[in-house]
Amino acid sequence: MSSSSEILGMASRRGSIKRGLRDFVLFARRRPSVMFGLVIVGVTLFLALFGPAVAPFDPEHALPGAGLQPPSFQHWMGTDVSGMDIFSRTISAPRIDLVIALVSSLIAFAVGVALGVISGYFASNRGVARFISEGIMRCADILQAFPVFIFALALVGFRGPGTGNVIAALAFLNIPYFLRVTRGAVFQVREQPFIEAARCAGNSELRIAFVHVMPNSAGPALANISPGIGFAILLTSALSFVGAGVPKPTPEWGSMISIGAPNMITGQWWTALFPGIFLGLTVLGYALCGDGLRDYIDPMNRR
Amino acid sequence: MRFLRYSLRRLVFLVPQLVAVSLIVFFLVRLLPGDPAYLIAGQFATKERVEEVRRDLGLDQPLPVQYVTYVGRVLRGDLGRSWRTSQSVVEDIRSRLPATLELILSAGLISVLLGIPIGVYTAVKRRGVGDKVLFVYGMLSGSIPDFWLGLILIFVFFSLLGWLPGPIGRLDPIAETPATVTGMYTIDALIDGNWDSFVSALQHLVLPVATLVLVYMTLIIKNTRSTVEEMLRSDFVEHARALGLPRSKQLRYALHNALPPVVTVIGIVFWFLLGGAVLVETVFAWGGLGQYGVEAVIYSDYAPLQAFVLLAALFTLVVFLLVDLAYFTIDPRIKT
Amino acid sequence: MASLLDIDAVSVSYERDGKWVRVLDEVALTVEPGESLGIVGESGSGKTVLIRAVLGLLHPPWRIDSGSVLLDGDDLLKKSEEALLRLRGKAIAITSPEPRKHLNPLLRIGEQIVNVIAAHAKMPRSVAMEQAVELLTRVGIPDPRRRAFAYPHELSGGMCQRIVIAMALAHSPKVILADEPTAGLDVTISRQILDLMHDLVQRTGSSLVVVSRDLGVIAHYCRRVAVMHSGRVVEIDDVEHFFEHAVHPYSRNLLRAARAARDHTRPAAPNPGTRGAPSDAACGYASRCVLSEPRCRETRPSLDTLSLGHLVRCHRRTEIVSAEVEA
Repeated sequence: MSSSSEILGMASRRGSIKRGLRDFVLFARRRPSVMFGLVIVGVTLFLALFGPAVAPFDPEHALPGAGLQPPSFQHWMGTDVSGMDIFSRTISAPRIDLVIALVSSLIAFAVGVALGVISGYFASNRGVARFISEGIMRCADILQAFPVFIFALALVGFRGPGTGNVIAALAFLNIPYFLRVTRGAVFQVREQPFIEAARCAGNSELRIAFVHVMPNSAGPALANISPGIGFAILLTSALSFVGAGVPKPTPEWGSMISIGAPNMITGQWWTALFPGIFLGLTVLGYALCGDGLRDYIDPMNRR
Repeated sequence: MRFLRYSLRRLVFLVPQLVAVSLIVFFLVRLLPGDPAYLIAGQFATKERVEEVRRDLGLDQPLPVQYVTYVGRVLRGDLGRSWRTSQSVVEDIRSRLPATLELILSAGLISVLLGIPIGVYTAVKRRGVGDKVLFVYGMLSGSIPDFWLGLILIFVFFSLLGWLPGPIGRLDPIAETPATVTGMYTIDALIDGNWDSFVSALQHLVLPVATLVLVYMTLIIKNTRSTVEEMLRSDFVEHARALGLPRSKQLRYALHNALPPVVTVIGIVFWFLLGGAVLVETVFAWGGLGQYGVEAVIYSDYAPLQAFVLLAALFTLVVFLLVDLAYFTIDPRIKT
Repeated sequence: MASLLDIDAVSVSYERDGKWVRVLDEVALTVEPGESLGIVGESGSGKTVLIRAVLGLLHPPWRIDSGSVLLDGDDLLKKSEEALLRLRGKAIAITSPEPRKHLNPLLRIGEQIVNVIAAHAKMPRSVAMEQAVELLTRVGIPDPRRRAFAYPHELSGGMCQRIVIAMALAHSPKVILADEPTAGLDVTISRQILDLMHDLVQRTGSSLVVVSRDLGVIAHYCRRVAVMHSGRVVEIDDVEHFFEHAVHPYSRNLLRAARAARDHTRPAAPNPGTRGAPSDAACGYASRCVLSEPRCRETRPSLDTLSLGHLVRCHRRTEIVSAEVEA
């Protein structure tokens, strides 16, 4: 746990974030898989920002008469059934996916860590505090009684499709995970002597919980954000695939695959192939990055 | 005797869990912002229509009354009516459940029967070619979306090679549907003695099951491998080696102790399979519960959706109950 | 008379971060038939590594650099794993410092003892079970027939240790290596366990090697003692002679501490200083030794005979013996 507080302590000092990042990149150099992940993350971030701008064709504009053309010099990945250029759509898709994934992950992280701190720190106290902390845990347990995708489906189903609801569903789903991970860390941190010292100095329990315990317990949750993002992207595309996610003309890998599916079956392989490859690579990249981050934080610079 | 006591305890514990689940499902609809009546009535509904829907769903009653009526209905076996199929939800479920079960059970069984031996083998014989292959496979299958993989498999084996039938459901249109015993076409066809239908059903089963297995078997392989490796390095296996116990016995000690975590992973895989089944059913037009649930979402068919979620939760609870029971039989350290 | 167990110049290294670090440096010990040898040293001295090396239980990143371990003239270090499996538990056996961890948590203990018996002898299971019960009686477990159905987690630490001893005795081995047999046990139980082991060994005529951090234990139950420090044997002597005439400064410190503990007085403050891997060019104890001279940090002392059965590894041994210096 001290290493995570080191990281966060480092991060809280200006300019050290840059140094931390650079150290991580150097670390990644030694591990090709992590490097690969970092590259993917970089590429997707770039595409999210500039994708639609650098795309040769308007990703939401259908070219009549140009439907179902195989990959050619003009259309690098071919066109789909309504004549939209697949390449342009593929590189424009990260924007919506990443926005959804990042926003929902951040919300889940913030809420999850906060709840984790509360439920972990006050776990053994008596009275109301304990009731709340136990209550939080029970709710998290019950939430996990639903298979993830089905729950996301249900949330979207009950509230209606649309990007905002997808974000809400994903955020809600990921909270228990961040909660548990943080809670475990809190159990260890709260035994440390400096917490006792803070208590002697007269700080209120709430203050201790949020000013001292939280920054030091957020490490494990932080390390898990990256794979969480990958998973969120997967979930978003799954929802979009069945039509319960991002609305249709918006380019999104899952919805592109669903549009291209019937064509693929009849032999036009390019309609659904490319978005899937990109999707798989992206999720893989974020997962590898997350693994690398985890190894980097704990133990520090292993091997 | 101990086992009976434990299983009874767990079964009893199931009840409050179900209650909690039903509460969540209930509140999901009613407490979230947005009016389900509008959703169901549709965009172009008139105000009267919306009101009608609201009354229909009993949304004008106070919450506690709504919950009680809801629970009452469920216990009586009334899960509502689907406005899409015009049938009772219970009837819809009954006709679709076996299809999904067939899918999940086959995929689960194959994943376990293949995954565990592979996991054990790579744990015992480390650093072979298999290691590298497995590593790549593991990385890939965790990232590739199952619905996309299904499409690729269809493309290769149906569109290109023509070896297997296309995604038109569970049976060839010309094949005879076997007499319903379990509802699972493969088993029923065997019972019926209908060889053609059996083959047809099996052929249609191959690709969807393969999709699920390819994606979810990794979990079993990875976990089995790491658990067995850990056990092989454990103190008590070392000590067995120090006392001259033959290698086969050492391996048995390790495998036996690896069983509890592996059983948990198997449970988790079945849990994942339910979610995966939903997507795979959509790709392959399987006509099971998964597809039913998805359609309910898209068309805002409220009653089936609620029932679907409830069933999914029930399935999860049952799977984890079974895992707990299995754990209990294997590990004597668990207290009653 | 040829020794039963002859450990000759065994060196072991360990690889960390690409570098090989020597952990055992030319350790040489002998054990005669029927005798009991105690090996004493602090943690990190290499005692456990030695035990594992003798039994051929080391695996990468550990490596045996050189030396031989002769059991009845047979070099164990040159044997294959299959051959070693036949010897372990039968000709040479081991007990463990943490018995509960070393027992299979999912099997009943009777079953586990039967497995040890069956590993080296063919017999019907019922016969093996009888033998197991008999072993349990021999190690003093009350109500052995019922206890045989217990799982390790249901038994106390002392009982688990007895079971481990029972397993070690199953085939009446020629040598028993007892690694920290009293670790984690309270004083009364420790006493019982040691008396038990001593008694059993007397009766079967096995040789016993007791590895311990506790000099008192070795004093009571062993005839000879070897002191290890930083991967080297620094002194070997008869126990009785040792208590009056220990020479090596480290041994003397150990004796002082043991006496102080027994007399309930505070021993002198332990010397600070690094405890490190032995390097070829120095005495491993030099940094903590009150008597250290420049040559102690420059040359490695050799293990030389001072008198019959008494060997010491120290540059200044003659001076210490003649009481020129106070160690």
